[in-house]
This record gives sequence, C-alpha cells and structure tokens, in this order.
Amino acid sequence: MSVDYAPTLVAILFGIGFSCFFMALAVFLGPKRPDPEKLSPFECGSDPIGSPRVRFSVKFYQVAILFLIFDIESAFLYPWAALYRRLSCLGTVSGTQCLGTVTAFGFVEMLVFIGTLVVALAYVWRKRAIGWG
Amino acid sequence: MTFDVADLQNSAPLLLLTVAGLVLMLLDAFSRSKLVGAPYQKKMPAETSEAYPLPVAGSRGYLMPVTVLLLLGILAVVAWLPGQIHGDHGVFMYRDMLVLDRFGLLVSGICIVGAILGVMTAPAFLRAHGLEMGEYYALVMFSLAGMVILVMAADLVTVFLGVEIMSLGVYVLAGMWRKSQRSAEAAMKYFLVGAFVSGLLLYGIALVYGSVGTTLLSEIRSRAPVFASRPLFYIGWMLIFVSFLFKVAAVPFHMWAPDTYDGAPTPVSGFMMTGVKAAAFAGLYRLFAVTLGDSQNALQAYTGWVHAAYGIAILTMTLGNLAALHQESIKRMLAYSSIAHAGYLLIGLIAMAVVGDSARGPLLFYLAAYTVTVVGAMGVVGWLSRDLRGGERLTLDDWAGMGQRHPAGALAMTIFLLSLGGFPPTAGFFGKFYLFRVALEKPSLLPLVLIGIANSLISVYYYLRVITAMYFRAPAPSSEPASEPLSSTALSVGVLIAALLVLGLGLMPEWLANLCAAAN
Repeated sequence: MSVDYAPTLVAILFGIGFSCFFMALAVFLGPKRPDPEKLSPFECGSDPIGSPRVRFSVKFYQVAILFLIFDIESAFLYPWAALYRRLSCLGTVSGTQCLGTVTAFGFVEMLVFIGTLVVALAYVWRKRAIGWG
Repeated sequence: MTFDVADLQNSAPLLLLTVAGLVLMLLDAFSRSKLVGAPYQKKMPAETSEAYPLPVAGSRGYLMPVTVLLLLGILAVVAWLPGQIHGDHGVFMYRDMLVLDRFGLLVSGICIVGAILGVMTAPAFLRAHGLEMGEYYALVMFSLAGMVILVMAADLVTVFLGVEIMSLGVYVLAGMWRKSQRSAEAAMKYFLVGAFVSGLLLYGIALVYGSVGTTLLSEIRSRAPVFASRPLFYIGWMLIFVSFLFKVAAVPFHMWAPDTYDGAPTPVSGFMMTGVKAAAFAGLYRLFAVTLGDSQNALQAYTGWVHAAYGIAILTMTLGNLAALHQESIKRMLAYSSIAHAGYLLIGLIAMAVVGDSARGPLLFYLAAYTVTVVGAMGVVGWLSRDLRGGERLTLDDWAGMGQRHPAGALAMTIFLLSLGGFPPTAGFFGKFYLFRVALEKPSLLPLVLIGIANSLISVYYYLRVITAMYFRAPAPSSEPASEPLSSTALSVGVLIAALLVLGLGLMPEWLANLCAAAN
C-alpha cells in the first residue's frame, strides 16, 4: 500500500534535490562582481517610486468580494451544464437521448441556486455596494 | 436524478431557516428609511466628551418580532417532526447525507430556543450601541441553518458544511461592533483560528476517507474494525477531534475564547457560547460517541479518543475555573466559565463512550440547561452594563449595589449565576446532578467526577462574588457616570422567560430529562 506512494516520495526528493543543486551551483560557481547599478533594487526595469505599502480605496476589496460571489456562480454553472442531461434523466443517457423519464431536477436545482444569488444581488444593490460613489 | 419529496419535509427546519434568513435579508435591504443614530457619527464615542447621543428607535424595529415569530414557527416544525420518525432509527435524507432523528431535532430545538431568547434580548443592546443592523437577524438565521446541518449530519462532508455555515455567520456577528476595537479583535481571532481549524477538520476528513474509503458515518462505523489499524485512520480522527475541541473552546484549544467572547457584542457572545457550543457538541457526539463506538463496541480503542478526552476534560474544567477566579470583568468571567462548562460537557461525552446510551439524556439536559442559563445571563449583562458614553460597564465595582439600583435585573442575574454554579432549585443543578450520576456508573470515571465536583465548588466562589457585589457592596464613589440600564420590554421579557425556564427546569426537570433520555 505505502509502496504505491514511493514515486511521489521520489518526485519530492528530486524536487528538493534539484533546487538545492542549482542554488549551490549559482552560489559556488557564479562569478560575483557587484557594482552599485547591480545592487540597486529595480521594478520592471525602472527605479521604484515610493513605498509599495500605500493606502488604497477600501472599495476595491468590496468589488473583489462581489466579483468572487458571482464568479463562483459561473464556476458552478459549467459543471452543471456539462452534467445537465444526466441530472434531468431518470434512466441511462445514450448520446443526447434520455432512455427513461425526463425530470426537472437539474433545472430546479439551478433555479434554487440562482434564486439565492439573485437575493444576494438585490441585497448588495439596495445596500449600494455596487456603485463606486 | 431526482429527489424525494419526503426529504423536503424531513429537512424542513433547515430549509425554513435558510428561507427565513433570505427573507430577513431582503426585508432589511428593502426597508425604506435610513438608519439613524450612532453608526453614522464620525467620531468614536471615546473621543467625544459629552454623553453619547441617545439613538432614535430605528426603522428596523419590526425585524426582531418577525424573527422571533419565524423562529417560533420553525420550533413548532421541529417539535412536530419527531412524530414523522417511525422506529428507533433515524430517517436518512438526501442520499444519506443528513439524518432526521430525535437527537438532532432536540439539539436543533435547544439552539433555536437559545437563538429566540438571544434575539429578544439583542435589539435594545444593539440600538443602544449604535449597531442596529438588519443583518444581525439574517446572520443568526444562517448560522442556525449551519447548526441544524451539523446536528443532522450523517456524512463527514455535511459535518464540514455545517461547521462552515455555522461559523461564517458568527465570524461576521462577532465583528459587527465596528466602532469597537475589541470587537474587531474578537472577530479577527475567531476567524483566524476558525480558518485554521477548518483546515485541520478538512485534513482529518481527507485522511479518514483515505484510510476507510467512504465519508458516510454509518459506513465508517461498519468498516472501521477492518481498516482502523491504519495510522492514517487514527491521525485523521485525532485531527477532527482537535478541530471540534477548538470549536467548543476546550483547553488547550481555548486561547481564542476569552478575547472573542469578551470582545464580541454581548448578545452575540451569548449566541456563540450556547448555539455554537451545543451544535459542536452534537457533532462530537455523532462523530465520536456514535461513529467510533460505544461501550458495546471496542472501536474507540483504535483511536484512543476517550483517553485524550479524559485528560482534556480535566484540563478544561480546572483551567477554565481557575482563570475565572480572578476576572474583574463579569463578561470575561462568564467567558472563562463557558470554557469550564465545556469541560463538564466533555464528561458527558466520555460517559457516552464508557457508560453507554444512558449518558445521552444527561448530556442533552446539560446542554439545554446551560443554553437557557447563559443566554439569560448574557442578556442581563447587556441589559445592566450599558454606559451612557457608549461602552459597557462590566467590572465588579461597576456592578456593586446593582441590587438596589436595578432589583429585577440583579435578581435575574442571581438566578442565572446560581444555575451556572449548580445550586439546587435551578436547571444547572440538575444538569450537573444527572451528568455526574450517570458518569458514576463506571468506576473508571470516578476521578473525573470528583475533579468535576471539586471544580463546581471552586466555581461557586466567583459566581457568588458577583452576587455579593450586587447585593452587599455599596457602589464605589466615583466621578464616572453610573451605568444606565436599558429599558426594553422585549429584553425584560426575554430575560424573564430565560429565568422562568431556569427555575422551571430546576423545579420540574423530569419532563425535559425524559425527553432527552428518549432522544436517540
């Protein structure tokens, strides 16, 4: 049983070994000729301007959260759409045909899910979380 | 695919709670007029020298009665459902993901009763501190829905789902006092620990699944004798155990609890100490006492959780009580006392495994008695400790002479404190009595019971300290304005009902004890 996991262990060891090996190569073999230009921090080729720790509008986080909620909706819609035929068929599915009774199960399930999200949308709309002003 | 219409009926409490939460959320969002009062002030109350402006009764006042009515309706459904269970075994729903049985319904009922009393005591407190937000009611509903999932769970996945839904609502509730740094600290600590614990729980579930090959609790129970010798099984269950011990705030996993219970808005603290704890104990019961075996089943030996729980119960009772001894703040004292009570409840869980099914009744009775007592006590704390400048006056010095200043509130607090300490004419006495009596049936539990009794004696000291301060100490002469108790009918009625329940259960414990004993 645990022998089955041996390849994983080997892969982990190789991963650690290789990174250590190349780090060591760079440390021991690499030529070190520092000059002020090389030691200066840089950001995409240009000198950094100001600290990266600046305050930014809290509204970004709100938008990000709202985005996540509705992003999950679409993430859930794809597997649902892929499985829709199986969800709405009581028998076996062959190709696009349902050999059995067709039910509204898949449809209703998604209606419930979307309905809950519509409540959330109505809530954020009324709480004025969507506008930027 | 399809689902059974009977499932809808059997999971009605859960569905109704969810729908009620959505309805409350929409009611709040579509309430026309704006909120008035404190949260829209620019300055922190501490920065203003003048008295906190008295907030006007907001436009959300009707949400509390609506919530209480909805919860009463759901409670009626919970009371009706046991009639739908035929036979000794529960009814499985949604492809064995949930189970409807009397145990789950009783714990759901306890959580809902606690929530009703909490919701009744909340709005006056929230309004006085500028927190009157409709979200409170919706979040309580959603959190309750999570608790119902957890107590009805028949699968490790639904256990996780229940824990998450229950906790997410409470994280937000703990931090809803946005002007208070301590509330933010409470929410942050609870959230970070909770997120960590969710990881532990999920990892434990993954390991158990990896070793047994199923997440269904009944399947795990039947397959475990074959698979249990694997270390993954043991480690997985220990991770799950630890994550639940975090949720019930058992020592040494309690470090978040005092700050969280102390910093959160008082009605929310009451909800966390009771509903979350009751649901988490129901989860512990289902996962450990039932799935990992009882006295007839030697399965527990494979994971050794009983031995771990034995030590943790002793630590929890002792440390919780010793830390509570020196608290000057009444709310923080109640927070530590809540930790100590988790220790007593662990005795019930251990008794379930060692003594057998006869320990289930005492465990449930203790949960019920503890819930009404703590919700009432937190209601009184919110009631009497209101400071005109917007904070809370929680120290013993602030409460000195409360017996003269506010006799009704002081009397109610006395009843709740006596119940927490386990004095005879109250629910708390019978909670402890039944629990210790059933644990004494096995000699191996004798040391545990003795330590439990010693601890209840210690706890009497700090409960009586509050009572003596309220009745036998003159208020300290000071230039500070005294606390100004809230005046609210709903709050008084809520505390009155809680006090009557505590006394009623103390005088006539039989009916609930029988109900609990029959809740298989």
